[in-house]
Amino acid sequence: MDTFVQQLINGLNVGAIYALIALGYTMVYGILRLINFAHGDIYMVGAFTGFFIAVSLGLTGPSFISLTIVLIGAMIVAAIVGMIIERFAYRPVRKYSRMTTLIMAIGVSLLIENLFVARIGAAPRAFPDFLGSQSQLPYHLFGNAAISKTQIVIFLVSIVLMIVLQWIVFRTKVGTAMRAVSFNLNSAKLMGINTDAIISLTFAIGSALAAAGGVLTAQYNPNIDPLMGILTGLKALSPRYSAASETFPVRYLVVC
Amino acid sequence: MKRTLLSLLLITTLFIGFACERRGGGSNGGSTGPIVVGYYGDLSGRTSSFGQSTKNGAEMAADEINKAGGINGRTVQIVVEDDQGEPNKAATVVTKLINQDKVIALLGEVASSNSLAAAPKAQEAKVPMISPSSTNPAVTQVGDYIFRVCFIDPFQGEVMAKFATNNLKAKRAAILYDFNSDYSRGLYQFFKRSFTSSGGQIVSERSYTQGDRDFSGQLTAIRAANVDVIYVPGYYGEVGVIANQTKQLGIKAPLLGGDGWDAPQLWQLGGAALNGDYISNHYSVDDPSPAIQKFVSDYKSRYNILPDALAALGYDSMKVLADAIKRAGTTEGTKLREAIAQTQKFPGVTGQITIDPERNAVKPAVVLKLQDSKFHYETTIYPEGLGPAAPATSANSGPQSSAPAPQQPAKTQ
Repeated sequence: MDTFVQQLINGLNVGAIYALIALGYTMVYGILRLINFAHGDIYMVGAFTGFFIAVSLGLTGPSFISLTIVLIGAMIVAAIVGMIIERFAYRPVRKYSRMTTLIMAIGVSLLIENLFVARIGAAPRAFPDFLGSQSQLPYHLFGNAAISKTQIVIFLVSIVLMIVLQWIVFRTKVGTAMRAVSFNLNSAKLMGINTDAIISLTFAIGSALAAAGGVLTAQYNPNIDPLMGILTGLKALSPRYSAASETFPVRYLVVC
Repeated sequence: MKRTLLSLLLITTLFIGFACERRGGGSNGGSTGPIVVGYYGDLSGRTSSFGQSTKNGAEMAADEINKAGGINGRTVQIVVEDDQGEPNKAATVVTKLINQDKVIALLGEVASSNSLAAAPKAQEAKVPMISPSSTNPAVTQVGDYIFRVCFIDPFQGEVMAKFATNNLKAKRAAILYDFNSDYSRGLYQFFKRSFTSSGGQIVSERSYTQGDRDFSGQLTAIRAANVDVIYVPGYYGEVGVIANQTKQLGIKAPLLGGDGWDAPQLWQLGGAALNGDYISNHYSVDDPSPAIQKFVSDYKSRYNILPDALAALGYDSMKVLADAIKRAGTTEGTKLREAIAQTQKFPGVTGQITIDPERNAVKPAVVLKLQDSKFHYETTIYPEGLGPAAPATSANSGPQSSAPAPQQPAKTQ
């Protein structure tokens, strides 16, 4: 029984991170019908941005405030990177066939990976441990089942981010516009929606969520390298397709 | 105009061609000019700490040789290639070293999978290859031109199994190994064989692959099996994280590992979570033997970091090669191969090196304890028929002690 509960906790923890990444895939796919292969690399960019922010500001000791700064910083940078990719890689080829955009996505993915390998090398780096997970003992639930502080933080941050996303998509004007664009791009344009801006915003939000996933994973597994996004990106892609429902809470459950 | 350009291009091409040709011709098998040795390793990939350390060690050895007048009056020059830690790239760069740089011998690789990919190229071209630290037995089985200066995994696995049963009194063990690595799979099998034959029980066997980010599923299953020790024969990148996640699940059993853990990055990834774990390794920087202490201080003044075992093995591989060239009196492939094969009791930093008929080195191994981001000498375990009889069970003098058991007397070079 305690093994079952423990694996459930492990699963929710890993699932929370995959869910954050999968949401970005879903949002972009919903709007452009494009599988954004560079999304896994945005996740990597997020983790590395967090790493460089922490190193340049000298934030290495365990502290929630440092984690918050690094998390928000990484999300902002990743959002900008996502918008740049959309503007300069996807928008120019959007008018051609869907296959063109797909190949462009693969190209962007390879470009980001190899740019990082060329600039900083493929050697793994150790992400600062903001939650003190190296020395802290987990909280015991019952029997052998235990939950660590890192797991609780990952879980809570993911839930908060998903609630915020839910609110943006269903309760704001921008969210309504996003849903309209995903429903029919041309009609949305005729209704006076600035579709380019909405698509750009979708990439920004999706990328920010992936970056959050990157920083959170790095708290759990401090080993980050420029190719970490490949496998994680592919794994996050599968729940996106297995999740049948379009509503986020249900999708989150399926992802877990 | 166009014609001028074309002819200019043609002349340049020819010139470059000749330049390359001359460079190659001069160094291959000739008796003048520098002796060109190829080094290949992972300098920018996931195990780049290994490649970097080994390269540092080999280059330091080459410099020492050159300062002392070279080998038979000729200097040694090392050509370095980066294989990024990928087997197919290792094969490519080795082909380049053999065909383009005309190297007379190869030093490399650390990871057994990469050595296994490159060894057939060296064997085919009849260029002797000395692996500093590939411990998988299959590496030297590729052919009679492939050697190594380290012990092999059957022994390394046996050392840890012996240590677990004799010193830690472990009865139940779990194994967590890297499914895609020849090194890790080899150690897994040899540890299992040795541990079960000495009365222990392997109660849980789990695997992962390099690049995995979450190990909690495997570790939870291992925790449920209630074990005394967990054997994790992997590389430092994953091991640091595994140690971390082990502690987060509240597992108290110590982790045991091999020489693949030995890298400065291990401490950044694992930190305090690694306290109380043990590894088997090739040598210990705490060893008071003058040869080792001289090497440690030379290395430290040159690179400003303590040499890990891979640096020591890189150093030894270059020295063994130089010794063989000196004895052979030539750099010609077949004669050089013979000379390397006849290496007897060579006084290396990592112990006496004798190449056996299987082209492996027969050497003792040390067991190190991990505490406060440092390796502490624990005990030395000798292979059968070498050194002080049988495993030194009484030599367990505690983690803080830096007084190692008697090492084979090693003369300063």
